Amino acid sequence: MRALIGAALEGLDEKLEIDEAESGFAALRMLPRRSYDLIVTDINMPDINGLELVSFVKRDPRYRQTPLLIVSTEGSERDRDKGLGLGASAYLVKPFAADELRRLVLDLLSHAPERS
Amino acid sequence: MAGRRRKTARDKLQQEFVSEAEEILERMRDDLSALAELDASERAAPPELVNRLFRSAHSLKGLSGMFGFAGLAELAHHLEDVLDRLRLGRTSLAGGGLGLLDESVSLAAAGLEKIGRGEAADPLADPIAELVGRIAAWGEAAPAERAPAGPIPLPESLARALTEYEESRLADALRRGRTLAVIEVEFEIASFEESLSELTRAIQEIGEVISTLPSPGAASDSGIRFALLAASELGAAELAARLELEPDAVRIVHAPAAARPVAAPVERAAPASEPDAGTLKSLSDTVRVDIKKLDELMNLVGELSRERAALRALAERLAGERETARAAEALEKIRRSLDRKVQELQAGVLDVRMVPLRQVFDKLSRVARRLRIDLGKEVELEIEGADTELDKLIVEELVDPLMHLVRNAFDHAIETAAERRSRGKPERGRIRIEASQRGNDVVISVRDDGRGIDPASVRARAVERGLVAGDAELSQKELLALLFLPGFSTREEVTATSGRGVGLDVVRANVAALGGLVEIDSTPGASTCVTLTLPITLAIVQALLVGVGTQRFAIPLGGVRETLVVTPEDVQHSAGRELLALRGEALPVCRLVEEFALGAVDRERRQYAVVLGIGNARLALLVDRLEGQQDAVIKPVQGPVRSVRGVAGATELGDQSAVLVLDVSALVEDGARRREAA
Repeated sequence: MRALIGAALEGLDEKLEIDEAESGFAALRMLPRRSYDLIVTDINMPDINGLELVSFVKRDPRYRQTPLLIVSTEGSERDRDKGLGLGASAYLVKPFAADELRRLVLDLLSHAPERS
Repeated sequence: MAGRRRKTARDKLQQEFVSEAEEILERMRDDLSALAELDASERAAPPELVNRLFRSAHSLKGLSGMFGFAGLAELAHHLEDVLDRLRLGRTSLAGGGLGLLDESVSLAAAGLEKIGRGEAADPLADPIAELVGRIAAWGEAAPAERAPAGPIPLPESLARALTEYEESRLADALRRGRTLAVIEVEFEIASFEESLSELTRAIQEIGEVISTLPSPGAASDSGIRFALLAASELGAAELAARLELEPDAVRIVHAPAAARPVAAPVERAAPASEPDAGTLKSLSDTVRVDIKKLDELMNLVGELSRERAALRALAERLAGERETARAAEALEKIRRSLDRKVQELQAGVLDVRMVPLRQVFDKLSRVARRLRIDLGKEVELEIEGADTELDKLIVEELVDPLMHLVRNAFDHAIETAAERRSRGKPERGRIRIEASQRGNDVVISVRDDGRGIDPASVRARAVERGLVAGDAELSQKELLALLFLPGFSTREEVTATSGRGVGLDVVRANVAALGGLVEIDSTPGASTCVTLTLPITLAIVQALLVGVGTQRFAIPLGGVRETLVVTPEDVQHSAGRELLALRGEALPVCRLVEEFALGAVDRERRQYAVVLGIGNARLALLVDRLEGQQDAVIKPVQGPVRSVRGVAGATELGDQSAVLVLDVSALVEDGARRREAA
């Protein structure tokens, strides 16, 4: 699924650089190391859940303004809403079309704050 | 789907889908059989197990949907739904639930096989509809009793990030009268996974981790904080002691009324019987491959390397002729590009063989935990560098030697609490295991802060056994090296004298068989450190070709420190041994012609010295010629040469000739020993 999302976004814009984290833990390690303009996360992950990741991201001053997209399946509406409550910007329900994802990502990026 | 190209791309995508879905189903099958086993013995399933099944179904649903396999997605959706209810405690396995789950997974697997064979685009419509109907009927027919959760007594930050599932686990814990604790810890961001997994597992032995909330550390860039919500039967002080944490790291957020009965023992037994549940998770994105297949691949890569060398020889020959020079140039270009590709291929195959040492270190942690209880000693095990990667085969062979060393340290080196106190040491002993990569080697050290080794008693013992002369002058290092000699000591004797030495010869033999070296260092009364130096891989090596007389040999480059020209005057003699002075150090000399009895020794001849080194030990190997470098796949030798010490195997060269590969670790070791005996 992660690879699929990566593939859908690859080549969307040549300035776009994509890092994939193979788990929630991996994301925790990567986030402080670089600075990202957009974060996409699932809710169901084996180590920490997506909500916990959103909470982490939003507590990091660097990422407070960074758009965050939650990918979830039908049936996890409550979790998704909690995610939005924690500061996620948008959500996408699986299965989704690659175009849908691309549109949303471009939209989120265009509203993202400029980085210094 | 029009057009041939489109179809091929789709086939490839489909293949990816099939292999990922297969892995998910495989995992579900494993989990279902674990569930069936627990069910058969009437034990409650650990929540992690049901949750993992749910996540698998969830992934399968998402995946099938994305690839447009509507039937499979539909089946997965119903599975996910019913597993969701199961994990949220809204239904139970009663009424044939397990059978239905099994059936669903089998049906999905059968469908997947058809997709894989390209027999059907989405073959499942009919049987799925029927099965889905039965699943729905079961879910409705078997509602589990479920009390309302009531208000959740939690810090806001934690409560806000709880998923529905975690909320249901929380409610379950409250119903069972468990105590809720928030455990706060901070780790280094570079290595938090290990410490966190260890903590999580420790909690799972006595209860359940409901949620793990990360937040940036105090020193934001290097630290990361976690708040773990744990449910157990223990109070703050007990929990802190059990988890080896400072008391103020544990805060009780909810304690049941005193009269509350504890949960039924059967239910408590279940999580403890699954201490590995946490580690299984990390397997989720991997394919298991028989290492033999990788060996075959590696052999093929090795053969390709040889063709490569042959091609080079041909190109050089053609370049020499006027009429073929043009063609040679083109050939050379192709060769160079082929070279690059072969190198990439080789690196790729090697990379697949690499696994982190974590799996061994996790075992050591478990052993340490058991030893702590068995021996009643307070010993802290610190681990660093668990991400260091090594060839899978080597990692597997390391389990025993490392286990041995940790047991030794626990059992013999670390003193009792009373003894430590009287020596002014902290009561709690420490064992530190560190791994890191250095060039083509991986270095693993096991250091304890125990009683150390008394060189005088080692010496006395060695003299008594006739291993060294009574008046031999030995450095501390040379003395300690005696501990590795077979039969140097037995358990009882050494415990009384030096406190160490159990089976060190076995450790050395195991490590040497991997082409590695063991060294030991100790400060009497304070510490002992055993260091293992190992090659990263056994499969393919860069080798230096050397010649002696008419013979050629290959030396793995990992063991070669440098080469130099040696005139007869450079070789000095001391106590009947030849030594080579190199930058103030006297290296033992080994003449290859002598070592393998290849002919008469001509001491007046100019020679090349190949300086071999493993760990800190060095040896100057004298040869007639240096003949360049080559990749070598080391193969075992058959026949009488097999057991010759100093020979690691054989390899084939580009010109199709076979040469012996020297065993650097054996040569260096023998050299060092001869020098000590001198």
